[in-house]
Amino acid sequence: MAHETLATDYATIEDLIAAEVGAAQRSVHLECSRDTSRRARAAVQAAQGARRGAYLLEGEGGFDRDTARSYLRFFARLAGRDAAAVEEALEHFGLGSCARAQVVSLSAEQRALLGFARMSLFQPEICFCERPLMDLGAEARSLVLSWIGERHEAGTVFVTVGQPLREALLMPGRAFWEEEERLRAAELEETSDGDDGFQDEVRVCKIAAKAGDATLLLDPRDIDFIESANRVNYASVRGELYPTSLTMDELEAELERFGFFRCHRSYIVNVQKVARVERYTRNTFNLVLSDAAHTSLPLSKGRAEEMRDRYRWK
Amino acid sequence: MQANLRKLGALIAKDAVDLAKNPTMVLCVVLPVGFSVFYRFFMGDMGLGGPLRSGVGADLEPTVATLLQYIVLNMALCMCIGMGAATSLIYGLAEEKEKHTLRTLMLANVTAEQIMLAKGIVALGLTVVAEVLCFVVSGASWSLFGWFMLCGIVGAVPIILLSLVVGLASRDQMTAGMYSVPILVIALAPMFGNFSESVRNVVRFAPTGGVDELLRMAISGTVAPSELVMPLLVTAAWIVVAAVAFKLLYRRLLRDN
Repeated sequence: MAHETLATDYATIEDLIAAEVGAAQRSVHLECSRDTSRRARAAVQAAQGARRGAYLLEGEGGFDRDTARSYLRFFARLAGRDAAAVEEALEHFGLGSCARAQVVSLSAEQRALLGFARMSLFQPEICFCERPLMDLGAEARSLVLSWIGERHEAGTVFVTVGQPLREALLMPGRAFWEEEERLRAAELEETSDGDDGFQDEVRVCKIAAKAGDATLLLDPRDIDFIESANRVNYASVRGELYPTSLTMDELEAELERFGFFRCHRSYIVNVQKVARVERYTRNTFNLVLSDAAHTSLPLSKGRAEEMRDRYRWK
Repeated sequence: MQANLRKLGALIAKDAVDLAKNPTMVLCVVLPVGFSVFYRFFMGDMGLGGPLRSGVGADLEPTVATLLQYIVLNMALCMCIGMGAATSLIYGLAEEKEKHTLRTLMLANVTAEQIMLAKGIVALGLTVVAEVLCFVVSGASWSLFGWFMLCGIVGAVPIILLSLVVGLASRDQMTAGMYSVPILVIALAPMFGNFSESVRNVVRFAPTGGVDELLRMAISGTVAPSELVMPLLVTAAWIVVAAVAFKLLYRRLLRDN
């Protein structure tokens, strides 16, 4: 069977949504500006048609006089669901303990989870989220990603916007990033033309990275992961990202002997820092690190096999 | 159809519970009721309470008795519409716009019409509750209850429509405070008609002026078909004007949210 050739570049967000969400009914996750996010929402509304939709936007407020439970019960009535569905949603998103708390008193993370619980009540066929993982800690992120995975398997089309590419790559579907208003597919992001890069003469075991005018020489053991975003490669050390002029291929070759693994075209992870591997759909794997932020990194399906074999994980 | 009614029911229930829990909205009922009690006892202290069922001053001239009942019920009518319909709606809508609640609802498969209808119904309900309570505490003759409620409900319609537009036009509760003033003034306008005949000749053309005239005629027992034409025309004209303004503007104002 011939493989479908996927478009890798769209001139506008409207073109992307019409093609990917409207025609092909594929989930897309975008690293983009707020303005593009707004246009994406309008385009999704236009493409929604008769499909059941659910939206989660940044800065949602109100319902201050509701409790988490009464809030969900109201939306359950709108969606034609019963009280049992509300209890199920509270349970699924770990909100059981704050069901009686006023919405206004919920933390940002609980409020975000409440938004996802609300969306789940609508059993959406198309789902639009602005910065879905922004306020979530490791556990809450896992709950949300597992729900997204389940719904994706059930046929829901997700459109998420505004998040860093790393978060976009964690979700099932295609990831795109914005460059001068064009949207480019993340899978083609890697560049290997490293001729004009900074060539470090001291090769042994240091990675050169920029911090202002200074050049830092990072010890590979301090690096949590390498990220490629917007054509620049960054080394993440204790939550800070330092740009390095080495290409991903060079970094991979350099760091492999220090226990690093190329888990995605755009990511090289320090395997010693991986705390667990999560799987949300057949094709979606994430690596959760043991750093302070419990960062999640995407793990490509093909590389998951390779990683399992290399480190003899059964 | 059933789904639409279910959504409308959910919106009405939510708005009603919100109103009951919101101290500002409770004040919209308490204030006219409080004023009605105040007027009743204030006149009682002046020995003018006979027509207000206190038994004091029962031998008053019929014209004075009529005037006293009119003053109390005129105030109650205008305050109930001004506070119950206008203020509650404008502030409530402004709060929802400020916190993007309306946007959340619009994206939850609820139509703009359902949201507006629910808000209008709840505001009308609040006005009716305030009117019933005001009438009960005013001490006016029960024979006027039907007229008072009819005038109160019909007179609230144009104010509710105008308040929906103004509430949607408010960016936040701060701007709502400013925008609600003209609506409150035109809702209360018939109260100022008691000061002089020339003022009354102007305010009778206000949105609540028509129903106030009807109430005055009902209290004085001078309801005649020929006399009804002008107040009914004024009220009908305001309902049409407010409905057209609402129809033209509400979608655009909701889109701005």
